[in-house]
Amino acid sequence: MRIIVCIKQILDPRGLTVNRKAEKVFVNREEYLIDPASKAALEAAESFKGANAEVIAISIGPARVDEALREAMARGADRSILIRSDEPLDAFVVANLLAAAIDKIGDVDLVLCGDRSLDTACGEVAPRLAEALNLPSILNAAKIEIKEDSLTATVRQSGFLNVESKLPAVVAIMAEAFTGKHASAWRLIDAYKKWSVETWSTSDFGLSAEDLHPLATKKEVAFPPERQFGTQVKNAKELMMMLKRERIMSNE
Amino acid sequence: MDFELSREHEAFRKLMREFAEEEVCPVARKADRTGEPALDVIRKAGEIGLLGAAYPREYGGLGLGETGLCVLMEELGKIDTSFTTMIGAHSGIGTAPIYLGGSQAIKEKYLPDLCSGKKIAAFALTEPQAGSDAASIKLRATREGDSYILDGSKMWITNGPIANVMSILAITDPALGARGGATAFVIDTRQNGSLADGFTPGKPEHKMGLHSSPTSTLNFDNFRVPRENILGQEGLGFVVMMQTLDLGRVSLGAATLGGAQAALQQSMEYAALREQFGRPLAHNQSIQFMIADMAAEVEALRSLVYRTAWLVDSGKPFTKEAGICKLLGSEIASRCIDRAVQIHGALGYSRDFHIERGYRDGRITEIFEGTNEIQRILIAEQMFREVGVKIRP
Repeated sequence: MRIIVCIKQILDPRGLTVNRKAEKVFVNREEYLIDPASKAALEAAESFKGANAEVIAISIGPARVDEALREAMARGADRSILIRSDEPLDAFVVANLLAAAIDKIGDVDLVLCGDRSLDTACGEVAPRLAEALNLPSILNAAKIEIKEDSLTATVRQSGFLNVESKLPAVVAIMAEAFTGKHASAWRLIDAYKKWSVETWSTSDFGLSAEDLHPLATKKEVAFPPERQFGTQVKNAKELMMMLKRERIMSNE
Repeated sequence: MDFELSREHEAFRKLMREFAEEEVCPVARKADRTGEPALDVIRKAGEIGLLGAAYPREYGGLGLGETGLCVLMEELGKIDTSFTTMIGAHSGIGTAPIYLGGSQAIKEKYLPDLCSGKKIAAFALTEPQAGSDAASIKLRATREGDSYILDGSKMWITNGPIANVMSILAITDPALGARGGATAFVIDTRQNGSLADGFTPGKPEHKMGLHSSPTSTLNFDNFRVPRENILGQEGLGFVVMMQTLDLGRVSLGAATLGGAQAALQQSMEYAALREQFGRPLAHNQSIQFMIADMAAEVEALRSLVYRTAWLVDSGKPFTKEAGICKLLGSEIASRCIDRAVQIHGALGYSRDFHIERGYRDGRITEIFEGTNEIQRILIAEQMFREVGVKIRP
């Protein structure tokens, strides 16, 4: 079984300061990490490694993304591929590039992505990727199980529901599914000393200029309007009274 | 000249930082209050390979050398000195004598389990009458066929109550004493989950700090060690133990660097947020001076520690620099944490805040692994040796 895990590297939010008055985000420390939802996807992929699965991590971006892919190998990926691009990309281009790379790899049984990244939180790549690959997609998955040529996923909507899909499929794993498991230090050192990251180019796939042209461009960064502080309630009884008073709950 | 760590060392630092923040930090305060060592966290660190940073891959380590151990100790030192002390005693001075002096068979027998945290190590040198005067040890090892029998006691042994494996120095020839008549051994203090015959650890000592790093006496009564467990040459165990302490001083310097860096970081964050007289503390020159002094000392210490680690990994002499790492590191860390308490005011004195724990925990670094007075003597000895003057008796 061949599993692809699409990885996103993000700026470490702990190195950022948000200045609401100036409406600016300051980068105090420019450090990058694997997005938590991508970590959850890697962890899900690693759990199938006992079942003879080959796990391939792919990411798109500048040279610094190499570090994230080596960490992906430390987290269980057998191979990793970096599609080098220094251009700003949107979900449309990212999905087109990933789909082309997955086609090139071939014989893929399962594609795992993070559901929503911590930085942009758009959640667009997985559904666009499924569309580009013409595969079924399952979004917001908390847990997946594989049975021969199908998979079952526990998906969060208003509650949780179980869904089934034939393989191959694209599944977006939610960040909350990550258990906090750390990378193996032995594999991490091997990822630097023994293994390499394959580097592909955006021109390797024969995609048209249209496929590589972002649909969305960033015009400005605007802050949402400031919200007033809520009211703190002491206990459930007080909360019930408040909800009834505001007519959110009925008085019955 | 290249001051950058290699990519694998940087990646290891990131993993170590993540581990320290996510696993050690959440349990540190509770462990300090209860005095219970965080054994689960040590087990987790071992399972992912963190504990063998310095040792070669063939023995289950990561092959990152002294620089790797310094990265580990610095990142842990930023979070909790108790935990760092346990790991320093295990990965550093507890395991190093086995690597430095063990036969191939002994290294293959012990190192993989120590690197993966399946077993915990301790370094047993100090005795009731032999602290700074380490050459005055009395623990006796008497030859009996292919074994030695240990009788006597050790004192102030970090990890004493929890270790399964110990590197220990004993007198094999009382006529020669420590210099020529002392032999180092690796011993198994537990067998099948129980204490080994002839070994009894004392109760954990009540200390000013390091509450969750257990320290105890060790008592040996007719304790049998196979002859193949000798580390280094028979009678020359003092050499192995002193080489180990030299290495330990470098990684201890790294731990104090972490502590000093954390004190600086927390002080800056607090000074930026805390407002008095209508402005943040950071705007007061008295606070700025303290921050600047801390930053200057931390930067100097960082250069010293990693240069010394580079000396070790390059196979160059490092005894003098190791002593300076320990001496300067412990004193810089003490000054930084003292300033951090001052900047935090009453909060710095509160037991509900990490600063107070750091203040109590850090004091020992000026005492253990050779007091700072001993370090000054050792450094002076090396300095005079360089000009052909021998100052030791």
